[in-house]
Amino acid sequence: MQFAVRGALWLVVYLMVVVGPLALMLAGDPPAARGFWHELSIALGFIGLSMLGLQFAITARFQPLDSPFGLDVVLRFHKEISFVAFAFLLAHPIILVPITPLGSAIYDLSLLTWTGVTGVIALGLMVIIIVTSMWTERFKLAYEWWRLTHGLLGVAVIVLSLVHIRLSGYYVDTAFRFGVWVVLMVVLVGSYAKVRIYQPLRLLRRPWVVEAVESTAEDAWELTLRAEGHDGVHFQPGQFAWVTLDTSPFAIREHPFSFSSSAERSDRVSFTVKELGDFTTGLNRFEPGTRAYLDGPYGVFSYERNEAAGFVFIAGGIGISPIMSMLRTLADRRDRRPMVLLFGAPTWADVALAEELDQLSQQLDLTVVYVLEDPPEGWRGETGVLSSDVLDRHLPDWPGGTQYFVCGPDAMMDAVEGSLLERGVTEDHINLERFDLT
Amino acid sequence: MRHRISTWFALGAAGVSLLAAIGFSLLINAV
Repeated sequence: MQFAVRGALWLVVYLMVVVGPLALMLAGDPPAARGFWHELSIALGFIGLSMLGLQFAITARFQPLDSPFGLDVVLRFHKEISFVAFAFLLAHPIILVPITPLGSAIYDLSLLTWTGVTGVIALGLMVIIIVTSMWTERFKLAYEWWRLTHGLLGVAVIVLSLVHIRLSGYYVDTAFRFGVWVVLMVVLVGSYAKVRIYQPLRLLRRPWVVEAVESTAEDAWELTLRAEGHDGVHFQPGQFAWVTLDTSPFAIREHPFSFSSSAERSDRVSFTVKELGDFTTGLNRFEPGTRAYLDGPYGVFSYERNEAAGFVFIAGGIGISPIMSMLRTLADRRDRRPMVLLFGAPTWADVALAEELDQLSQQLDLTVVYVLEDPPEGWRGETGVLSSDVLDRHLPDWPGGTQYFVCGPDAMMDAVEGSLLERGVTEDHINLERFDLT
Repeated sequence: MRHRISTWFALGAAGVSLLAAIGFSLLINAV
């Protein structure tokens, strides 16, 4: 409940920043109105600009903002609200076309003003931002380059928009009114310096080194880091961190990895990582002793936030990483509650940490069920995918509340969530972790 | 449920902002 209240408060704060500047434009001696549609268009433009500025603040990884929702949900909101902001900003000139000389400028470029030019360029850059974000893979944009251009284009849109509103000079006709917008944008865009400057400076004082990189399954590695001269990171099992390897913490080359080690140990942490792209491929190229930095913890996918009488963990492939962290922690804490792990993978070679899972099933009241799409000869376990039938055969019917933790590929999580809901599990008992943060 | 919160928030923010824009226009045209 406490998280729900904090979440609702953040929404109120968001809305106040979005519409607050509009109220300020009304203060004092506002200019004469020019009809309903004209002023609606202007208001939509101002609101769109506030939303653009806020995009920087909400992605700046502020713990108080992220903790009620989880960073993945905050980043999802960032993505979804960008369409709202773009719709408002696009509606702004479209509404003006039939009621102002703006429409004529489309046919007669000599009528074009700098106000119009800056507005059109800003909208064009926004289209580029959205298109390159939605189809990063199609444009073969490396992640680091995408992040850099995403931010720089965002700043360019804000600067052009400020020039645009100053040139149009209607509501922003005084130094005070323009100052309000400039200060608001500097504060919002500047808040992102927390990620790019403040946080890296802090991380410099808390270095880590690679202790080991071990193969745990086909195309999967367990990366272990050791804290150098500090007490490490205190995390909840199931959370994740942004990891920078063999480069400065100021580099954009950082990657969100889920902790897989026990939360009982803060100075030596592990991450189970699947080879997915350039960076994660051949992770053992990072020799022991390689310098590393760790920004975190983030995320809300943890049994510590969802107390229950028993736990069901459902992992697809590398989705075992955060679940492994929870199981190792539960074992270290000698937890006696009943647990079931359903672990789906394409082949046995893709099953990470099977030996350790066997050991954990001895230490804990844990039943492990493997589900293989392409099982080896003589396999007696479950085959296929984590279907409704498989869940029906293995999900327990314990009395009292059970919390479900699901992590894996999107399609698998959607299917499992659907099956659980069909079985009558309520949404507040289903916890999903989506790796697709970017 | 947690994952759908972002969509509800985005829709809510869009709705409230649109109402605020309409209110702004009505107000400034009324004075």
